[in-house]
Amino acid sequence: MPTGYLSLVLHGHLPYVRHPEHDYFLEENWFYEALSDTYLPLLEVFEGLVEDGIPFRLTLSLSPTLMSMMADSLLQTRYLRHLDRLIELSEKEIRRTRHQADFQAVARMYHERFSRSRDRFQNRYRRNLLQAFRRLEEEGVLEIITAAATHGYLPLLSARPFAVRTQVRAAVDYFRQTMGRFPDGLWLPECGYYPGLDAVLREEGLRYFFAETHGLVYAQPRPRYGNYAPIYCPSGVAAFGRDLESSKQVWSAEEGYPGDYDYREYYRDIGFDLDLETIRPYIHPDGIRVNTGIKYYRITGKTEDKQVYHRSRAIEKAAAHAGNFMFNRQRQVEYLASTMDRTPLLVAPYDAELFGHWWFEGPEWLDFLIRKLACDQDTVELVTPSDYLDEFPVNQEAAPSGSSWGFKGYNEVWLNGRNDWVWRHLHQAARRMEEMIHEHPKANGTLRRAMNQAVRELLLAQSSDWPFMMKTGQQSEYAVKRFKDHVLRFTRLADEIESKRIDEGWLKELSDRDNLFPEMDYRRFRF
Amino acid sequence: MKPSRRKPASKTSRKVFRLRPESRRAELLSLAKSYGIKGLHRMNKPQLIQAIQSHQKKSRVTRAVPARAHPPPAAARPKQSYDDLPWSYGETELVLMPVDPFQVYAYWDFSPEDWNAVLARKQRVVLRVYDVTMIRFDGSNAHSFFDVPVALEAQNWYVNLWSAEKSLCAELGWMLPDASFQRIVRSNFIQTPRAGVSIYEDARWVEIRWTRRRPARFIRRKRPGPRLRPAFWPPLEAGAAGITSATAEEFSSRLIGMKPPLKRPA
Repeated sequence: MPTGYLSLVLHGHLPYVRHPEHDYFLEENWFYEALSDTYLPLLEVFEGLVEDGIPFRLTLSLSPTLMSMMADSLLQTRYLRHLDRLIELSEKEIRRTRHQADFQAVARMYHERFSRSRDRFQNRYRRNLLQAFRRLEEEGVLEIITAAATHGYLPLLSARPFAVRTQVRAAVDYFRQTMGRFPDGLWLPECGYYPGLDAVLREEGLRYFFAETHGLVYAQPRPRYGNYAPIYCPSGVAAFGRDLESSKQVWSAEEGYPGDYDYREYYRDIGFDLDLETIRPYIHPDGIRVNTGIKYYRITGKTEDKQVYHRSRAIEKAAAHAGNFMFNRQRQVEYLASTMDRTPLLVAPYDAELFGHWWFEGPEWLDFLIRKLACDQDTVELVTPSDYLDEFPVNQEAAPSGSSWGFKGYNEVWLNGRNDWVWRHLHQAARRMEEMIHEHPKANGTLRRAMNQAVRELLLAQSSDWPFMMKTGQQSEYAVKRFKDHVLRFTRLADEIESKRIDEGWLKELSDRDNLFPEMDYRRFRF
Repeated sequence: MKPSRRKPASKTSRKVFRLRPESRRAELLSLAKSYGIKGLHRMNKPQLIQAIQSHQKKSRVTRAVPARAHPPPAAARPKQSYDDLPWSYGETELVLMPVDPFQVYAYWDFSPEDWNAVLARKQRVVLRVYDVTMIRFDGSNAHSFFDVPVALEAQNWYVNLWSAEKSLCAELGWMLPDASFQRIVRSNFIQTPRAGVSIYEDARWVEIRWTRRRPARFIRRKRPGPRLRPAFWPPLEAGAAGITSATAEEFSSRLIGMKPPLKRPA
């Protein structure tokens, strides 16, 4: 019997970026980088653990948009092309750095990494990572859950309950179609919760969700165990609260592990450092410099004079940090267990892309952590939320407080002077969709396809990424363009449906372009 | 697209009342102060009333026409162009959204006729925010309310609050010369989040036994049903304590008259 439980949750999400109309599209690189940096390495780590017979339990939330991208054949082909170019670039880099042994070692590492990624992606997974994750779930090590359909920020969509219910139901349906079973849990985008949301989740048969720390701590009545045990919402859905301490150690760029001086520096990429002529074939065709993924330096310190990266030293650091993390969790649960009359649970959710993409050594850290937890101690045990609820079906009933994990803990990140204008359009579009569905409860042929596409455009416009990018100012032009495109496409479709003059050619073009959720049926959204 | 105008509202609740002879001097004073009338404290009551009335008259005369002329109200839904988002959807509505426990955001839109009407009328427009926590609001029974002067053309406004965990409703309307309020449109109801730990400490424990779900049954309904209906497959088996589906409002109202906590099952 362990003293405490630890539930590691990785949340994977990317907005749906797929532009078949362009041969090269800058923003598609987010997906390719996420595959190379995060998902392929994580799969390798998990499979290694399974091969070595290490028992562990981990929760992985995959947003439906990310799953759709993983399953999309165009993006799969383009990813291979992307890898081919990187392999070519890294070969050139090995030659270019032949007089600098330190740098060449790093270049060789990248070359080996890209080649292995390509091999695994093509030959082992047959380009479909979803199946690989599914196999791991069948092995009993992963628990895969879903997120809202296009990661819409539900507390602000809730002015139109239809929008929230569509987001949740579309997600659950898509999960069932791809994974062949119901999801137990749902990741609330940005941990955004508002009172009453649990009832929507309950209707779709979901068992639990995650909330920010104060969502639980401020719950009414005051939870006896704070956020160290789940609570049942009024509707019976369980809410798990994020543990601040374990989050901070991994999240924070300054005090957390990822800021260690021996780790790889993310912001020095040869896409920006090399002269333009050398790097031109591997960046944007218009000569816009982009990250290539080959980065030679370690963080070194608060200086511009960066030192070369040493892989072995960084890996040693990752092992030390995994030990430190485990030590801290042991002390934490020992203290908590002394104050609680049941086994405390620490919930540690992270963005999956933190591991590998932002924190290059993250997957190795996770590997060390899981191995140490399994072999070196008995104090802390890894569980998933379902495991915990199976063991402790009795929990306190309380209503969580509205909250999110954004800056300041509420809705400000998605509702401020830079992005507040999006909401009126989203609410209006949701209302119009609802009316259209009631008007055409049973459509066939072209009309049905048009209705389905209208729901897709509506969902794509609702993605929380657009207002977030508008707020941070990074790629905000792209966010504004995507948002407007989807709302306008929706409006045009709605107008055409209303006037019964559907432009079939355009509809075909649209459904080839925004092609997520292929089996979606708008009639499921008659609530 | 208009940029939003973020303007912190006054943090003091200003009681708005009918200007009548029996009004108390203190009330008159606070109203006159909000108009920026000078030399208040030397005035007696009739003088105050006169000053307020003359200010209201003046402000009615000098109230500027909207700086930006609106495009002529087109058809409710523009059919011809899909180049940019419309500035108006041609429906009269006011929507309130919580930003955090101490701030809410409101946006509004009008039908073409209403736009013409509201812009033609040169009167002070305020956003009246009602505290309707735990009551069935009928327009007159709010716990309290306060007014925030807004510019209609901005189409949105941020309102600062001074207490969290409230149910709020807002109305957009005119402030008439006799200080009465004429509503144009009423908003949705929202609940601002809690900003600290709850004062309720009673613990109620529930046992929920989870059964793995059967494959989906697609339930088709002819007409939209009630907003909240019980789940249509039974993934949860009610335990000893029993549990039903309830909205947050129902739940919080349950808490008010809560019985002593149930004994926690072993």
